[in-house]
Amino acid sequence: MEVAGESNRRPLFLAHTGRCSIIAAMAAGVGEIAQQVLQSQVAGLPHCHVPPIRSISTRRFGWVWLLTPLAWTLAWPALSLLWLNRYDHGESAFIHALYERKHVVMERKGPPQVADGSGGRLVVVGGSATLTGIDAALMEAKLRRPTVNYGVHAGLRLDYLLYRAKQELRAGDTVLFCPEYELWRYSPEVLDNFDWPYPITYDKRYLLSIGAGRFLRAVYSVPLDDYWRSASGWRRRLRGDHHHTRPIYDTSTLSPNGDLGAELPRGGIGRVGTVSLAEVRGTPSGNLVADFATWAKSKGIRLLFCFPNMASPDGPPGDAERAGFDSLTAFLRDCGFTVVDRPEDAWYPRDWFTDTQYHPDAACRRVRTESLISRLRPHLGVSADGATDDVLVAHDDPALAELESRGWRTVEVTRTTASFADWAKPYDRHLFLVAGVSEGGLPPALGQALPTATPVVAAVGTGPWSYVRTVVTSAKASLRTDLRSLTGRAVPQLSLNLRPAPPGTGRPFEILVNRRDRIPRDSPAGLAVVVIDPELGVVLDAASFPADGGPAVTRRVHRLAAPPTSP
Amino acid sequence: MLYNSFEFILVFLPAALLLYFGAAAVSRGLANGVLCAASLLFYAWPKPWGAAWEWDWRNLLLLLGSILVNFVLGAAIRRRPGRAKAALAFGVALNLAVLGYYKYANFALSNYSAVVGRDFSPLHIVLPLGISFFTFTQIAFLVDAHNGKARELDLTRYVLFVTFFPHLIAGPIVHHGQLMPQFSTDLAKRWNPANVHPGLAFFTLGLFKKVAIADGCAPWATAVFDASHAPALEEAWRGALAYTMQLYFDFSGYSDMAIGLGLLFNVRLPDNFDAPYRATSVADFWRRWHITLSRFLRDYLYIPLGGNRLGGPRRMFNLFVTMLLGGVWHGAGWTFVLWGAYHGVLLVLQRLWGDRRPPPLLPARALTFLAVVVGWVVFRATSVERAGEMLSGMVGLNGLAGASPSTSGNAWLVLAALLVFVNVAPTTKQWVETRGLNAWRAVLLGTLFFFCLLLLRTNYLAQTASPFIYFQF
Repeated sequence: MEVAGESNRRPLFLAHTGRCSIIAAMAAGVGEIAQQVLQSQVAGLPHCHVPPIRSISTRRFGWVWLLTPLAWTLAWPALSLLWLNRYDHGESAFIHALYERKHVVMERKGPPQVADGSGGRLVVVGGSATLTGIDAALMEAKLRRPTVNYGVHAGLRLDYLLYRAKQELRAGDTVLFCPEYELWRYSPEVLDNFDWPYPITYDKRYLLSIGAGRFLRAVYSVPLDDYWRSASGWRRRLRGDHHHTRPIYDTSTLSPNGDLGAELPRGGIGRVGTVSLAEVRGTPSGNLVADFATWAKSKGIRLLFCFPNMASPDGPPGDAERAGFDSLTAFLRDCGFTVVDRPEDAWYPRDWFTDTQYHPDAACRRVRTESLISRLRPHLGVSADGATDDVLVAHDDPALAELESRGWRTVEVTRTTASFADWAKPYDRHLFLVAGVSEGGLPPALGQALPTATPVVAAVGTGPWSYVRTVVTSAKASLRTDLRSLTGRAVPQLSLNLRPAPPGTGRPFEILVNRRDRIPRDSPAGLAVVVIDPELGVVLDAASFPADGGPAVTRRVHRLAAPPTSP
Repeated sequence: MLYNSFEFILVFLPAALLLYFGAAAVSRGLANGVLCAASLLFYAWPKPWGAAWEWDWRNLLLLLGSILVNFVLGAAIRRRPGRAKAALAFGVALNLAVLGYYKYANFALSNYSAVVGRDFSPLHIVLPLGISFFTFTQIAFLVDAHNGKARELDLTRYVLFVTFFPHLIAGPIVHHGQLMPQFSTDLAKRWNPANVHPGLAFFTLGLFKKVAIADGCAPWATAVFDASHAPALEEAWRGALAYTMQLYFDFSGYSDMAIGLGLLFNVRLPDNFDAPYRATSVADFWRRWHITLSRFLRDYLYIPLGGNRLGGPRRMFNLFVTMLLGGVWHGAGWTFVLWGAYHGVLLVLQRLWGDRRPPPLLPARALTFLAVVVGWVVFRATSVERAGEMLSGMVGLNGLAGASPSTSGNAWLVLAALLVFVNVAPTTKQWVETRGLNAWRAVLLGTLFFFCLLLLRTNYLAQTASPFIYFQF
């Protein structure tokens, strides 16, 4: 509607309306605006009046609105504690599997024999650099004292690692503390995505022990996604699937000393920056370590410290880095630690590492452990017994081939040959997984259970596990189960699958523990056997024997010589 | 300070309410003074995402200087009618000059350097928060003073009119006549549940829209708009719709919160948002989106240009120029120029279509929505080239499906649900006015409020929290 009204002749800035909308002017014309002004005036509204919100509310509305979030705030920590879980989280499953096994290892290594620490357990505490980089079994053999690899996962951070270590340590133990460098940057402010899932799923008591302030900060930092995800965790838990959450590394490869033997994926670790350490004295991490040292001394626990194994940084340490190391060393000495090495002593070529700069391969682990042993000897009062550091001895080890490719010379010095019956003798409290055809020569415990001259897959226990006797006979026999179902006890979980081997492998059966075939390659096509320690939930040994149970090579020992040093 | 921050929600707002109503028990003037001081503190508060934790005194001084100069000019206009026109012209020019310097100087410089082929180092100018809003508010005041509609001249209340924190940073753009009477009445100084209750409802729903929905859509939009590759069909539409929803809930959330905050202080701010994605034409869209800006552009730009009084072609020209300048108002960049021009062209086309038979409701809505989405792509794009890539992607010139992240399925589900929501759900105002605010609704809103606080906390820790989009304008 085109308008030639009075409002159009007024000064243009005057065109205000009560119901202001651009379209009234743009699409319809100014005349309508004038009409609206009139309507507003007629209605007695002031200029550009804003119509009120017409709502009806009860008197209680305000109070209830205020109290509702307060009630949620009070209830939220308890609800979170009860509800949150990450039963679907591979990293948490891995940590859980490690801790339940390491507890058994710590118990088995027994109470300390001598209260002054000279004969107690040597417990190496750290993150995954320790887990994957220390061979505690080798240390135990060479240092002649029970040794436990108590390395787990640096993502748990210093507070939790020391909290768990404290629960296991006893008077007379010696702690070899070997934290990753990042652990010195510990901040107690919040639990983050990395260190939260494990405690909330498996160790809620820890969360109640960290103090109300920190716990509340942690609870109020959990992303809401996690509450949604917890529903699927509960579904897993109710179905019993949470025991089958696949850990990031195979914990069935743990040694009786707690070393992880799994072959880690090689992921290319890229550049390794220089290690710079800020002053730790007075920082949260420094205080934690100082408190731990005080606690340890009060319990009669001896303290040693070594720097973690890691891939060599791109450049040598400069003055600033050196000052950081010196400062840390001085701090540790003040706390009562004996520092046994320097950072560079545990730096190795980058291609000796696998998926992170802290995870060495098996060869590097052996070299690193031998080096550490030589440094520990004087502090533990153990003589070298004529051993020299450049002549290393290794047992059957996947690292051998890798070492040879790096210039090391390996010579087989002894090999152990045993019949099935002799080989099985030490395993009198274990579980045998057997697959193949037997024509006799079986150990007594198995002889009663296994038929001869027919293909068989079986799980047979000895000692306290002798009630386990599951035998399936036929050419296509298979047995798919897990350790808890098999034993009927709350032991660490393993998935077990004995099944016919795929064509072309030259073997009738394969024995999979945690989805990995454990029968040695090039083994005779008779009877394949895997020995499991049910209490520890690990594979202890595996071998293959001729059908008559006759002798087979069960272990090789090599002498290993370091490559000549460059001039 | 941001509405969606802990310091605002848990400290500033309760303290401001307590002090305001406490002071109101003593005197009305004191209450207004307290509210002024609170608003200035709100403005000067450091940006939470800034690296430094410093008070923004320079911007505060600019704001105070602008208020003082405009107040003096307003008084001069009122008291010296003979020089009113000159004072008005001077005031408008001065306001526009300040706005131009802070907002457009570097844009002009960069274009000038591109034209003459010489490099000029950019000026070190930090855009003061809310400058577009408080400048427009005061231009309106000067014009109203000239027209005799802004009669009241009280400095404290004038400062409060400009700085009243619920509208200071991102609108709505208010008129002197809308707020001053509300600051003058004693009724506004009493704790009034009839205002506070809907105020809480508005604030809670607005916070939820911002924190849960807009910030939830933001990563999907950012992933596409800020990607380095040209998006394929699915990706481009996902990004465009995600931004369409992000902007809707961001601005709608802000507007609700502003109205809610005003009501807590017994001040009714004008509506700024009215279900714009239900518009049946582009003109209808502008009747519903940023209503107070549309009104300002109409009253102080379109009509002064001649409106519809100077014939058809001139009317089209006025429409186009108004929208073009409206686009430029949003920011100094060619994408905003293009966006404004685009809407100008759409309005002209709609006017040319005239009174011919309008399309049925649903196709009209769909067409309008489509046109608006295309406009938002230009609005959001980091450059004209990127806008071109996005639009090419939306018509399938970059392929049908790109490298979609695994979350794209979830994104589509959520976006579809939001699309339904914005088309059928009642607006916040309708909800508050038609549902009784009883105890159960208080539980619902209180619960929403609590979860918003949780989201704020986790977004803050994850560094994914964001200010309102309109804060940058």
